[in-house]
Parts: sequence; structure tokens; C-alpha cells
Amino acid sequence: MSEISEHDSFVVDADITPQRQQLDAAFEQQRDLLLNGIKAHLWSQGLTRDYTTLTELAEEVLQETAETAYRIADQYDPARPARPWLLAIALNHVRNLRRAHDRDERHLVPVAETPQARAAYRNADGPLSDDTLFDLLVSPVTSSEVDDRFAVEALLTLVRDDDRRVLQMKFVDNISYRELAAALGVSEGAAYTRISRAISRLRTAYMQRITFGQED
Amino acid sequence: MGEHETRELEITRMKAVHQYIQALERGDLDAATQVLEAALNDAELDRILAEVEQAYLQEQGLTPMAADAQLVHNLVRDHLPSAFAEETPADAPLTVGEVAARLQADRRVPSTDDEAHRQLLSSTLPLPTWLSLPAIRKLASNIGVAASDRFWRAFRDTAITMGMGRSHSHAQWAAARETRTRRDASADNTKPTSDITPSAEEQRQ
Repeated sequence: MSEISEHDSFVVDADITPQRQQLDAAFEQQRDLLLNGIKAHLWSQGLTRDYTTLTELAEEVLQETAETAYRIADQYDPARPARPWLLAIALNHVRNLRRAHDRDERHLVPVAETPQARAAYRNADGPLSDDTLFDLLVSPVTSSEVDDRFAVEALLTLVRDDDRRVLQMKFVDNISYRELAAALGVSEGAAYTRISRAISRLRTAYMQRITFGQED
Repeated sequence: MGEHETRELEITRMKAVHQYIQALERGDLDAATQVLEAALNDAELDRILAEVEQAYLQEQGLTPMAADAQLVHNLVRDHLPSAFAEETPADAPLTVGEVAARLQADRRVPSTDDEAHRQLLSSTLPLPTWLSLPAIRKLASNIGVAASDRFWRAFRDTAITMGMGRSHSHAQWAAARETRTRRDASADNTKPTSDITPSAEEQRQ
């Protein structure tokens, strides 16, 4: 990428700190992974519905990320992985793009999509937060109490068959995500996604059950 | 690190990945950034997040190969329509299921709305004539399907586009029918009058 090459030549002239060395290596070796992360978030923001535009936008964001990263390189701890640090910078640029897009389109953001609503969702404990649900699901493995196992089995009756199957494999049979991925014939990332969605649906089903009663 | 600590770390990691996936699906950049900050201290978590992003792109058909396949599919649909099954007759009203199927083909269904979308796919309910957002919301409430505003906006846009396409093909279809009728009529004019009007004997019967 031309912008990064310009930075490279700049770096040669300047003092090469461990931070800059690490960032150079990250841009060279993890470029595709960074682009994937940027593309996923751009798509999730609904900024484009076209693959070519998405790729172009992701390249732009990566260039801006490189500029920012080299400017604030002294804030980076080279003992830590570079990708999450760079991706967090990239998400700031994605956020700016989203704001500009909303302004240009005079876009009315639905209440459910406002930052306040999202923060409220994240912080809402309710009767069963995602964290609590996770703790409950892993309890048969951590406590080996028979009652806990029954509680989880009962909880899993609330969801449809395919969700119950993956949740049982993960939390009752206690297999690893890699084994789960192999059993489902999907990638490890897809296995994480399947579990995450199954948990979300389980939480929704549980909330509906306690809101509308047992007869529902 | 002891077994208990390893297990604790694994659970914390699972929660973080779940939070990241939910953030990705809701378009919540703040929540995603929070998880990335945690990944700064956990290289394994970062590896898993990269896997999740890759899986997300694959699922949405956003890998180079999937994009190429979609491009070829669209080109064939545009330039060789006869390769595809004949569409519903233009007179038939557009149904909820047809719009849901098009949304899926165009990959415009947010993954958080998968369940709602699945329910709509089998619906044969006709769409309201006037496709305002309140009308779509009323329809959703009648069907009893809950989905995000983003989904319903995409649903409405697609329904309008499909409706316009159908009106266009309806107009073409009607014009073709009109031409055929005129041609048949002029052919009929060459026939003897007795072929098209009842004879005096037939009238008596």
C-alpha cells in the first residue's frame, strides 16, 4: 500500500524505536487480518452494501490508521499485540465515517441504534445478564454439582433444537471450540458465532418466559 | 497457571468473544473497542477475534470468492434471465415471503434478525398497496414478527424496488398482450363474418 510505503521511508529516516519496528512488522504481516477487521465493522455499520466500495473504504481506513498509529507510536506498548491496538484506532476512523455519513444523508438514527441505547443495553443487568447466563452455563463444569447440570438442561429446553445441540456440546459436554467447530464442520470463528447467537436467543427466550409466564 | 485459573481465563475470554460478536452484530463500536482493549493483554483473545471477523465476512458473502460468485450470478440474472425460473405472474400481488427472499439474496438481513427473517420467508401475505413505514410496522405487528428498525427499513426499500420492477414488467406484459390481441383481431377480420357472429339458425336456438 503506497501510504504505508511512504511511512516506511519516513521511519528509515527517523529514530527506529521498538514501537515503530513493531508497528512496521504488524502492517507488513497482519495487513490482511487488519483489513478483515475493518471490513467487518464497516459492514456492520451499514456504510456500504457493495463489496468493491467496502474494500476501497477499508483500504482508506487502513491508511488513516497507519498515519494515526505512527503519529502516536510512543503510546504503544511493544510487549503487547499490535493488532488490537491498531484495530481500536481503525474503529475511531470508522466512527468518524459513520458520523459523516449520518450528516451527509441527514440520516435519522433510530432510537435503538443511538450510542445511549447501546450503552444502556450493555449495562442492563436485568434478571439475567449475558455474564450471569455464561456463569450459569459453565457451572456444571466448574462446580460438578448435579443440581447445576439439571438447571442447565432445564434452561436449554427453552431454545430450539439446533441451539440446544451446540449449547449442550459446549457447556454440558464441555468440548473446546476447536472440537465444536470440527463437529459442526465450520471454522472456529463460526463456532464462536453460533454459540454467541444461541446464548442471545436463550436469554431472549428466558426473558420472555419470565415476562409472559410459564403457560407461554 | 493452575487448572482453576486457566478455566477462569477461558470463561473470561468466552465472555469477551461473545461481547465482541454482539457488538459486531449491533454495530456497537464502543463495545467492540472495549473488547479490543482486553485483547491487548491477551494474544489468544486477539487470535479468536480475528477468526470471528473472518467468519463474519464469510457469512455475509464478503470474501473475494463470494463477491465474485455474486457478481457472476447478477450478470447472468441481468443478461440471461431465461436461465432463472419464471417469476410470479405480474398480476399477482407481491408477498411478504417474496420480499424476504429477495432481502436474503441481496444479503441485506442483519444476522440479529435471522430468526424474524426466517419466519417471514414462508409468509404468503400480500403487501399493503401503500408501503409507508407505519404500514410496514402495522404489517409486522399483524404477523407477530419482531425485528430491528434497520431490518424493516431494508424490507420496505426492497419491497418498493420489487414493486416498481413488477409494475414495469406488468406494463411490458400488458403491452405485449395488447399487441397480440390486436394481431389476433386483425387476423380474425379476414375470416368470414359467419365465423364470429351467430347465424340466424343459431340465434333461433
